[in-house]
Amino acid sequence: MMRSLEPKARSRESRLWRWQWTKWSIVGWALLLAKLSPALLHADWTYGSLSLSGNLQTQQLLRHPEPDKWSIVQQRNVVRARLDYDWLKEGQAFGRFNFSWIRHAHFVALYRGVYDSIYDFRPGPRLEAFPYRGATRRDGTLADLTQGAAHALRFESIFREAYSDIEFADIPLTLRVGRQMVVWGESDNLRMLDRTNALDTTWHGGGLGLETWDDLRIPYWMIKGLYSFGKVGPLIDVFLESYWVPGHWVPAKIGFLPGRPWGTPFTDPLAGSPTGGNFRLLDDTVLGRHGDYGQNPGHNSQVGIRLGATTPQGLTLTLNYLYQRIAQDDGMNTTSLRGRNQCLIGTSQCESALAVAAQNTLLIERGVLPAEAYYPYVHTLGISASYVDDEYTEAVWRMETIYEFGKPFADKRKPILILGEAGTPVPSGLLGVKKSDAWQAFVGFDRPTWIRALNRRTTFFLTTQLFWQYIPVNTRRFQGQLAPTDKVRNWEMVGTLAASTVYLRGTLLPIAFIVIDPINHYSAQFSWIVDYYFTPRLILRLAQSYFFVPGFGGEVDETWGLGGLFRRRDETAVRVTYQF
Amino acid sequence: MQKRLCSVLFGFLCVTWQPVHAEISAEIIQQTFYPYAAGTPSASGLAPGTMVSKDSWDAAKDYLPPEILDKVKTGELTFTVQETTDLPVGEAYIEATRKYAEQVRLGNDGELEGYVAGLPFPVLDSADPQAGLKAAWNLRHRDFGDVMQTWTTFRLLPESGSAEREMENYFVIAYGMHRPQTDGVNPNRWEADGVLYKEFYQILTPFDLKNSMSLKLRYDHDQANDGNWLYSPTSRKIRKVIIKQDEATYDSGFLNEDYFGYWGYVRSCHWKLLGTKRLLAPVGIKAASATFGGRGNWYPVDPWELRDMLVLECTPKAKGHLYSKRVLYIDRQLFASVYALFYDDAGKHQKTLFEVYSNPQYSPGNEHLRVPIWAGESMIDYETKLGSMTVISKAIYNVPLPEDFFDLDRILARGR
Repeated sequence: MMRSLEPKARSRESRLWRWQWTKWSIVGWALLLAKLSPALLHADWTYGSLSLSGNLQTQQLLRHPEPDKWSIVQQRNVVRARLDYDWLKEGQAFGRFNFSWIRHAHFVALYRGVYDSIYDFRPGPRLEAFPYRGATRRDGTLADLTQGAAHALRFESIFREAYSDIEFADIPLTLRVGRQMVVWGESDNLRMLDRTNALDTTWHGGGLGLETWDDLRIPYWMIKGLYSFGKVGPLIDVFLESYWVPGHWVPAKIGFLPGRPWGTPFTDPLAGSPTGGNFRLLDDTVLGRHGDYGQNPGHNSQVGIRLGATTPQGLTLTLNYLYQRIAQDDGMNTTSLRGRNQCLIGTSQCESALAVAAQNTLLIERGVLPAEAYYPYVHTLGISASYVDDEYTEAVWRMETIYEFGKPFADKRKPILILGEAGTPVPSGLLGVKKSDAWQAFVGFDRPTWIRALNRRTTFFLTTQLFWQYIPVNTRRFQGQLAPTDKVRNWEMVGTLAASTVYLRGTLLPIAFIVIDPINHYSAQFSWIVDYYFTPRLILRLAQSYFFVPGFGGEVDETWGLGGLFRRRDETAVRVTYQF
Repeated sequence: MQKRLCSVLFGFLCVTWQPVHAEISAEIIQQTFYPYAAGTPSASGLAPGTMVSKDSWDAAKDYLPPEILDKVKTGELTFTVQETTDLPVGEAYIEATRKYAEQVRLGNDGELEGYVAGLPFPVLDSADPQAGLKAAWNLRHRDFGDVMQTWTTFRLLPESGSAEREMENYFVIAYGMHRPQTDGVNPNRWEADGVLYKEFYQILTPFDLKNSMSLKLRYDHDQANDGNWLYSPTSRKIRKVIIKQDEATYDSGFLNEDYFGYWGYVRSCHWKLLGTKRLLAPVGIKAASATFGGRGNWYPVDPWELRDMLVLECTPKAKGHLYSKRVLYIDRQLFASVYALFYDDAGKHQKTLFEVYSNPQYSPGNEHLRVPIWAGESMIDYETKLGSMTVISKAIYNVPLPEDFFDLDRILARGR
C-alpha cells in the first residue's frame, strides 16, 4: 500500500514544488519590476538613432464549459522587445558611408520570448475535444504529457520580425526586406486579402479579439516593394505594392490536444500508428508544416501585387492578385490532406479494387498513411474599397471580395480503400481531392455613434460586417473536415458586430463583439474585453468569450471557430502587461 | 450740365477711389501687425518682474478674465510678469494682407469669397453683426507658418500629478493653400484639390500604440468635412474614419475641435465678437517649451505679459454639445488663441485651455522666423480635476517636407 502511494505522493510533491517555483518566480519578477519601475519610468530608451521598446506580459486563461466548472488552461508569460534603428539618414549610412541614392533606411527587429509556465505544473482537468464524440472518449489532460513533451512546448524565443525599410532618394520606391508580415484588405478578422502570412493556431485558437493578429500570423522572409505614383489623371495616392516570399513559406500551424489546450479542439488525427507514435504521410510531407515541395524559390515562392488609388469622389480602392499556396486558415472547409492510392486500378500491380486496398493497407501497417499534406497554389483575384458617406449614413462603408481558382476539397467520390476485417475493400476515411473555385466577399460599415446615456463624452465606435462565400459547383460530393457528417455548402455566411468606446480619461477601454453564423444554427461567439490602465505602463485586461449555438444541442459542423467548433470552450482571460 | 458734372465727378471718384481701397492702409497694417512698435503696454503695479499670486493679485484684476483671476486668488496659479514682446508675423503674410484683404467678402453661406492669402479681415468692428464670423475666419487663416513639425508628450494629469496616460508623438501640420509665396517658392501645392492643410500624427510611445498614425485633410471649403485616415499597427491597415469634432479625444479634456483654442469647422458655431481687451497672457516665453506648475502642474508658469486681445465667443450649433459656449482670447498680433474658457451646458465655467507661444529667438532652429512658435498647451477640466497637457520637446517650422510625405502609401510604408 505504501509502495503504491509513494509515486503519487512524489508526483504531488513534485507538482507542488513546480507550482511553488512558478509562484515564487512570478513574485520574483514582480519584485524585480517594482524595483526597476522608478528607473524604467524615467529611463530614456532612445539613444540617438536607436530605440528600444517592448512589454512584459502574463496571461491566465481559464476555461469554464459550465458556470461552476472552471480550470486553468493557459499561463503564458511573454516578453516582447522592439529595436528600431535608423541606420541611414540623409544619404549617410551609420553616419559615415555615402549612399546618396537612398533617402532613409530603418531597421526593425521584434523579439518574442514565451514561457508557458502551465507546462511546469500541468493541471489535471480533462480537456474536451470537439464535444460531440460522447463522454466516453478520453481527450487527455495536460498531465498526460511526458516531461520531454512538456519541456519542448513551454519555451519560445524568436525574432519574429527583422527587416529593413529602404526609401530611395530619387525614385518614389520603398523596399522592406527581411522577415515580416504583409496585411492587405479592408476586413476585420476575415481572411480574404489578408492571407499572405498564414496563422499559427497554436498561439490561441478561438482567441478572436483577445489576441492580436500580430501574434497569430507567421512572419516570413520576404521582400516587399511599394512604388508611389502620386497623382495619375483624376486619381490620387496611386501606388503599386508587391511582395515575394522566396521559398520559406509554411502553411497554418496547428496545435492539438492535450499539448495545446488553447489550440484546435482536436487530438492529433495522425496519432495511433501501429509502429508507435504518429502516422507519417507520403513523401515526408507534414501536416501544418510542408507539402511535397522544397523550401526554395523554385518550388515555394509566393507572390502578390496590388494597385491602390483614391478617386476624386473619395472612393479608396485596391485591385489585388495573389499567387500563393493555400494556407488552410481562411475558414473555408477545404482540405490539406490528400488521400492517394498506392497504385491505380488497371495498372500491372493493381488490377482490382482489392489490390489497391491491399497496397494501401500494407502502407498503413508500416505507419504511413496513404495521404499527403497538400498545399497547392491558388490564384486569387481581389478588390477592396472604402467610402465615407457623410451625408446619409455618417458611416465609412467597406467592402472586399476575392475570387479564388482551384481550392482543394475532399472528394467523397475518391475514397482511399483499405482492407476491412473481412478482407474486402472498405473506405479508410481518407479521400482524394477535387478542386473548385470559390468566391468570398464582405460589406460592412464603421460608424461613430453617440449613445449619450452610456457615454456623454465619447462616441461608440460601431463596426459591422456581413461576410459570405460561394462555391460555384455541386458541393454534395465534397466532404468537410470536422466529421463524416460535415457538409460543404455552396453558400456560407457570417455576420459580425462590435462596439467600443473610452471611459475614465482614456484608462478604461471596453469592447464587445458578437459573431453569428446564420447558416449553421446561428452558431455564435460573444466576447467582451476591458483594458484598464493602472498607469501608462501597467495594464490589466479582463476578457471573456462565450461560444454557443442558441436553442440547439446537436452537432454543428462549422469551420468559423464559433459555437459549433468551440462549444464548451468558454474562456476568461486575465492579462497583466507592463510596457516600456 | 450739373448732372453731367456729377457723373464725371463720380467717374473721377471711382478712378481715384479704387487705388485707395485696393490695398489696406499702412495705418491699419501698423495697428494690426505692429501694435507694440511704438511702445510696449504697461499697467500700474504690473512692471516686469512683478509676481502675480494669491497674495498679490490686485494689480492684475483688470488684466485677467475673472475665471483665471479666481485661480490666482485661490493660489492655484502664480506667475511673474515680463515686458511685452513684439512678435510680428511673417512679412509675406503681412504683405498679402495689405494686398488682398480688401477683396475678401463673406458669402451668403458664410464662406469666404475672394480670399487669397494673409489675414482675411484685418479690420474688425464689434458693431458689425458679422464681426464674430470674420474673426473666426481670421483665426482659421492666421499665420501658422507653412509647415510645423513638433515632437510632443501628451499627458493626462490628475491632481495628484502622476500621469494616467502618456504618449510621445510626432505631429505635423502643413498648409497647401492660401500661403503667401516666399523666396519664389509657391507652397500652395494642394490648391487643385481644395485642401487647406494636412495633419499627420504619429504615436512614438508607448509600445501598445507605437506607430499608430493618422492623416487629416482640412478642406478650404468649410462646408466640406475633413478627410481622416487612421493606421493601426495592430491591424497593420490604414482605414478611413469619421471623427466627430465634438467628442473627447481619448476621453481626455480635449474635444477634437478644442486644439489651438478652436480647431473645428467655422460653420459649427454662432460667432460673436465680444470686444477687445488688454490682458496678461503666457505669450513670448523665453524658452522652446512651456513650463507648467501650480495646482496639478497644470498651469503655464513662464512669465506672462500684457497683450492686446480680441474676445470671441463661440456658441456651438450642435444639439447635445458638451459646451454651452466657449470664449476665446485671441492675441491680436498673432491672431492665435492664447487661452479659452469653456462653459458646460448649464453655463458654468468648466475648463480653461492655455496655448503657450514662445519668442522665436528662444526656439532653437526657429530664431530667424516670424511665426507663432507653439510651446505647449494645457486643458484644465475643473469638473473632472484633470489636466490634459501637451509638452513640446522640439518644434521645427517651415522646413519643407518631401512631396509625398502625406500620401497614404507613404504612411503604409512607414507602418508597423
